[in-house]
Amino acid sequence: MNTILKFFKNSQDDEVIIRLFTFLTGSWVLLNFISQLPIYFSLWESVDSLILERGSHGIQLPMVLDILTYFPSMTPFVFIGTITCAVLLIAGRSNILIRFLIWYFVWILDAKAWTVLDGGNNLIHLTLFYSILLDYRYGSLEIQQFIRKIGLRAIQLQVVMVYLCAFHSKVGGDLWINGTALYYIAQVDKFQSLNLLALFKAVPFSLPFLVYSTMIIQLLIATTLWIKNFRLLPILLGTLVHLGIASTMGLVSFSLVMIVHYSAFLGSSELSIVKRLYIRYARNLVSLLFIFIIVGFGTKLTSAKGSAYSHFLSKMNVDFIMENLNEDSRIFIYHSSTNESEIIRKHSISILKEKDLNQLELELGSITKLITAIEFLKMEKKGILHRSDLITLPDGKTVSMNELLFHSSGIHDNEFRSYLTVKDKNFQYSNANYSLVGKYIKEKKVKYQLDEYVYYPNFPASSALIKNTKRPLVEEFNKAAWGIITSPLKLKEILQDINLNNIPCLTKGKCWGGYRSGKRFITIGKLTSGTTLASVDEAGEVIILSSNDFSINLEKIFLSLL
Amino acid sequence: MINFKKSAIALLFICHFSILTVYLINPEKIDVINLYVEPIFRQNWHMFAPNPLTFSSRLVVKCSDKDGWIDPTMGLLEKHSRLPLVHYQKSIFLFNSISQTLLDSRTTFKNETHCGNVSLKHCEKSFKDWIRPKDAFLKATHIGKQICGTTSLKIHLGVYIEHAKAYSTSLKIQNKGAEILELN
Repeated sequence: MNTILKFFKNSQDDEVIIRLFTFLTGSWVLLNFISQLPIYFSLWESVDSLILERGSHGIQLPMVLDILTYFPSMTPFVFIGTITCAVLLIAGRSNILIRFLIWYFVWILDAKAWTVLDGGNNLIHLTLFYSILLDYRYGSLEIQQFIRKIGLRAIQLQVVMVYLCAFHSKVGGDLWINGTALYYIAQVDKFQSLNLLALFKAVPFSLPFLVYSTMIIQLLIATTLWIKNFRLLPILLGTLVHLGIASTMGLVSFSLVMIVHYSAFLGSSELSIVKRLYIRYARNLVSLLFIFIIVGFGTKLTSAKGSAYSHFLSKMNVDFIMENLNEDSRIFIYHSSTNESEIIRKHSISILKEKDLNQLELELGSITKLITAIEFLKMEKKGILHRSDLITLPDGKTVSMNELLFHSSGIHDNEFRSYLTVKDKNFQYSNANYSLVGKYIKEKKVKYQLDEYVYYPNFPASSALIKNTKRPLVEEFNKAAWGIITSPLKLKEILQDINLNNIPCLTKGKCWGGYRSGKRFITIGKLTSGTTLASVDEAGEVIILSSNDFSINLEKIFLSLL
Repeated sequence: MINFKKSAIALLFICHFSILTVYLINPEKIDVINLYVEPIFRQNWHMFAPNPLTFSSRLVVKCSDKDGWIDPTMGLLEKHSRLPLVHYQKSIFLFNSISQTLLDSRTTFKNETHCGNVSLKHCEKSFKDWIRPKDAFLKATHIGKQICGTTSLKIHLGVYIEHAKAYSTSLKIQNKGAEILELN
């Protein structure tokens, strides 16, 4: 019995650890619930939202304990209560009641928000419950300290159980044993923040390495967290693994929970290291600044276009995509070398059949911008229109056709009501630019091929894509920027005698556009926009027409298809 | 006396974690232990194990006045990787677990009740004991209404399923199987 009691012996670091752990869990709860505020109504107040009853799958609340079952209107108060308790925990003003309330509130709120829970929420429910003991202040001092230690040990044991169970159940899975499990996880679309598949392809060894090291680290954490003077290693490794999970699989809140829980394991040696580091570096303003600069520079470097890293990624992706196309592919996916290429994922590829093209009205979306540009160039060739032509906006400022075609007029789509204000002349993609080009072509009474077969669809206002139809002035000419082509065969006529390489905005990747309808996504030129990329990412069929620096002549392929 | 108290508390601690251990390692749950664990200490740490999911599913919506299926999660993943600390991932989870739940309940119904080939909507009555599927179905309907607006006469709900490719040493990709299961 004495050896067991020794396990719960009070140590001088306990109060510091409890304070740190309380601070971190409070912060996590605060962050978690604040970050869910934008979807508050879908989670807790949706008209369709049901209160869970006993006997359902998942969290099972004894009915008597769940006040939200009886009083659903209490939800906002419980929510505010949670936030308040979390703030109190962070401020170190906790007592046993506050700790009980925060556990209870989180517990009943999460029971309703069952759709968004993960392992992190599960762990926090348990440790919040155990941490009620961390503020036990009744009876003699010895008992107080003992019970607080019990609470701390329970939290530690719970964390170790997580890792042991995770390891144990992985050992029972074939895919983990043969080292391919991550290959499948990387394909589940909600866990794709980085294209791991391309990494596995480029560096085949990385797959078994990552799978086995995950398992080994889990076992290592579970077994060595108890060892004094050694636990800094599992804590650092675990933090690293969870940061990796957060960045590759996007499981940020889960990873944060796990990292927060390591704080319950810190001992005096680790605390003193943290303290030493703090005194040596963080207290010194100059070194702090230095760290910021290094981190900032590193981030800039990795995200900079054309950097070696992003080039590597994009090369990897293009190779990956090209290799994985079917033999009977008619349209090829091409992505030029930008660092966003990692966003293209394997599931975005499928093939559009020729007969589909002839049967369907092809929604071109912003591809229409390219056609407008092509038409404009054709007319310029004939000497009817010129890129140097100026138009005067109602506010008196003038912009050239060239600027409009290049999206460098400074007209901003989002501020369309005041679109007449010309801002700086940097690249600013907007529908208004091309609408104005369309308007100009029309005013010149030039025969505008687009008129014959492109129409501007009349979408209901609910469609998120077309919210911009409220823009009054240029709506009429919006089809120069955005439209549906009724006969894809007509597209062939337009594209026939034009070299896509000569389209000014295209060669510089500046008249890109894309459109997505259902599972089909079409884009042209370089992919440089976040939204475009996101659509590509989610689409089932992607058609990317492109022309530059690639060995395969894509426009020919496209034309042969048409 | 103090030592006695301490020993008693420590014993409770050991009992508690022994029960949790039995709960966790025993694949066939024991009723008595469930009664103790489930309400407050319910836990499951089979993260991607024994074997990870081999397919993804997404909720998709089709409006009667528009072509094609609409995916409400469109763009969320990209937004999440830009701003990881806000609600985007939870929104992805929201749509995902709705589709997953609908899918699960569908297959369960196929096996267990007459509802196999009948649309989910008609089966709504037998969802009485299926709180989550019902909640998921209502949430999905709500999402459908939001997407299609009032102009749509009929809103189709579907689950887009994408099967993961099997691993082979050459990593040569076969065509990935993808299908849309219509729910109503």
